[in-house]
Amino acid sequence: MPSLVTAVDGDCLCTIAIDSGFLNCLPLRAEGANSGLLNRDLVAGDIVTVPDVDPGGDGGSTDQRHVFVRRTAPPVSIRFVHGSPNIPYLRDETSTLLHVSNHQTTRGGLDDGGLLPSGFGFNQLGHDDADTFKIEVVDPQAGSPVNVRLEALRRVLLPTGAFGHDVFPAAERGRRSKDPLECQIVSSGVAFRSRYMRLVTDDTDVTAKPDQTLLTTDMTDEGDPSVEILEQAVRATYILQNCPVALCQVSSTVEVGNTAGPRKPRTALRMAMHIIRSSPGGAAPVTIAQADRRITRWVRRTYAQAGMAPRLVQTTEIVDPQNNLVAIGEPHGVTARGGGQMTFRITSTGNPTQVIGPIPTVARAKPEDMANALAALVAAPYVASVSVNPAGFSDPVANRSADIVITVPGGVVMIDQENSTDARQTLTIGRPNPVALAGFSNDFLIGSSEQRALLKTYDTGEDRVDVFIVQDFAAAARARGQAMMHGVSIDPARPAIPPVRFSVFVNGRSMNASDDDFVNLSHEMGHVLEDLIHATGTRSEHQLMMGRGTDFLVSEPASKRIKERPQLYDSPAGFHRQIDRIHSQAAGLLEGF
Amino acid sequence: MNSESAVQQLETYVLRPDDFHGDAIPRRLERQEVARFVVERVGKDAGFKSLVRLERLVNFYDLQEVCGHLSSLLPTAPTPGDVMKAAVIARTVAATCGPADVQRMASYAPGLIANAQNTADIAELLELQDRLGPGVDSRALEARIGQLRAAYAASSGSNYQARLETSRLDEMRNLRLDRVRRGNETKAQVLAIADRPKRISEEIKIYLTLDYGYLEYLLPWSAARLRRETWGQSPADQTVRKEDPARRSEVAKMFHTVGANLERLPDVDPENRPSLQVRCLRAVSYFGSALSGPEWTFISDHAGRQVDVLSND
Repeated sequence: MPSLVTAVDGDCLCTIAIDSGFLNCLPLRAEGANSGLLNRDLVAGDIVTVPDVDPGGDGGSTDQRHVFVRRTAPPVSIRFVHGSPNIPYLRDETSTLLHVSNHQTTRGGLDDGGLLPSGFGFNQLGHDDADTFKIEVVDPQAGSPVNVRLEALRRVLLPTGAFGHDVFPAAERGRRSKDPLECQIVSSGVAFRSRYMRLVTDDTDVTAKPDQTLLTTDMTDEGDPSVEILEQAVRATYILQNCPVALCQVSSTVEVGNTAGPRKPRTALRMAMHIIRSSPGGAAPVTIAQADRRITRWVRRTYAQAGMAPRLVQTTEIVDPQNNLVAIGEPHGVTARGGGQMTFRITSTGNPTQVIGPIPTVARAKPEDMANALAALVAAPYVASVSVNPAGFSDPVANRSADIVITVPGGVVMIDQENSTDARQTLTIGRPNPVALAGFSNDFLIGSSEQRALLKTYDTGEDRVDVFIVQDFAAAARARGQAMMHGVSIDPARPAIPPVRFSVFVNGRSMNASDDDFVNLSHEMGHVLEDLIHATGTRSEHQLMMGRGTDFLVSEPASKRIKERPQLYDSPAGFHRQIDRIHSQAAGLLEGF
Repeated sequence: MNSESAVQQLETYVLRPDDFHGDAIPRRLERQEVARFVVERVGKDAGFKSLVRLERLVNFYDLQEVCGHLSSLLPTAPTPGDVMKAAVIARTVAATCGPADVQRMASYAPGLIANAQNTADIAELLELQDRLGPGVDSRALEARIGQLRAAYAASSGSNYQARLETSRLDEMRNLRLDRVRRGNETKAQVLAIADRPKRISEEIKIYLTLDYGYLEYLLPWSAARLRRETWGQSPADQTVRKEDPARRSEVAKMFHTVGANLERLPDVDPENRPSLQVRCLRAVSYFGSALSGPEWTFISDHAGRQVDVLSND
């Protein structure tokens, strides 16, 4: 008498048939009660009618040994594994989580010293990357090789209100799939396994190793910038080689990234962007859409290997440059000689002009003292705010210059007619030129007065990386970006101050509609996040934090990797674990995914 | 940890300059090797940032051996595009080489001034004016600033770039050029002190950022002066680099004394004492005298990333 079996996730007619003693699904397909199940995948809860098994019979003499082979054991299955050098295949641990690889795609070994093995079977060079994986198929009736389909899935909202995963749109599905992915029989003959595979986030990595990569990337340029890499999943599907109708399949799905993961806990990285017009009311170097695209495309792709995803915490804004910073005592931050005078003039369209001072300089007055004295003279509608910079690297620690930032609600401030006749204490104006910004030349924990004028006017807080996009840097500097680090690791006595630290400046070309200079912003962010300067030593040219200028064009060997193992740095000199360091040094910039 | 050769260090510092290590002059290198590197590896194609690094390197080692080579890098008939780089080369020569070279650079400067087009050029020429030192006429530079200022002001109505240039030129003329001049006057006053210990004492004060003004120009000058004090008895004897262990020891001893008595100096912020003590101790070691174990420990504990020119660290 036929029995009824309730299907569970991953079942197909073949697996239920085999579990019930048949060789394949044909007897179940012949059962009229199953007619509604024949042309679709089973889902949990489907009721499958299983006909009675004919036990049959086979004759044999007594007092002889007869060997019977069960042709359907072990059961058909598919799973993700990392593999191991010496554990029996079927006892290898199942991978329930995948990560984007930190390694150069074509390279193998702990520090990419060799090539990623392209063969099947265990190889230490492939094993050394903890993020490589293999697909394992068990099918005792199959002959080698078997083929599986490997594909990335996007997160979707299910009708139930819960989140699940589904295939990408048809136009995208192909490039985010590997079909067929070949699996060869392992040496013990119990299973089939693929080559070492890696998740990668750009097409150049796929092209470099097409048989051993799966693209898990954004859809920014495909019309949906909300698609996160770290919310995707990967599904491996095996259509049973001996299924007579080639329809029965088993599959396994694992997520990419996990909040609770010990190595790369999935984390959001808070950011805010400010595009600086070339002049007050003038053109912006890039559009908001272009700037946002760089975040959801290249920052997302780059930091996915560290388990991190950028999160814009406010709408990207376009703002005016203002000549509104008065720097007292820069450079050297020395006390006043006394007997001199300080003065400047404030103008703003639609607001009254104010001349501040002249006031006498006071012997031994610190820059902060003189800044406060000048700021006290600033009257409404203008607002003056005084801040004290850290000492420069070439100055004693108490030699701190001070800034006055002057703003007016809804307006643009321009300061001119400045002067200081004090022999020791200077008074200069921060006049940012977004077309050719003067960045810092040495004191990177202070920043240039042009940078500070922007930072102290528009920086939005300590809990995010503030990104300032200017058209370009001054030609002589040949800079593409500059980072305002926290600096505690560099010099605890001269740390950067809140409006300055955790900020970066990048040029417009690295934020435009192209993919040029694709990791420029990510590189500068790396300084801020890690509080480190540059990676150095063997193979550092492939690291995001390399010091000789990151690669301009996207390619597989380009400088885009964030090594998980200790990486040698020039300052603070020594080996540092970058991902751990981001979590320890930039914890305030991160939040739950 | 990688151990870089001298040439590798110099290549990184000079030829591959980044934004973070401008003050990390490779130290403790054989000066002949440094001079050879400069002559063989730095040519007319060197970039602006590399030349700025080169300036620091040549000054640190007082590489008078390369003066001829540096002079050969200067275009004989500079064009506007040459001004910034040529100004850096000229001031490197002026700061490091002998009086005849300084005079040559003073004669060369007007050609650069005449070709200056913007504040970026003027900024480098102000630095050159400083290196040319006391007695050099700065009226040509002032006049050129005025010409450029007038040109930019004429178009600055709604042109933000022109307004920026105008305001910056105002600052350069009213503030910075004036400070260059006054700084040079101060240099002349210090050089005129015949009493050698007194003169060295004043140079040390400048080096410690005490008392004196115009430090953006005088501080690096004081470091160079203190090195030159070991070449001869008086400034007139200090134009050609000469090793003199006795004079080095004399300067080291003075730094040792100052460092041990910082609390007696009236204008020293107590918070600055450790930094200044580090600066003095490093200078003691730089000039060849031995430090005690506790003194090395003090440096290690308090230096942080402090950069001192007169230092082997």
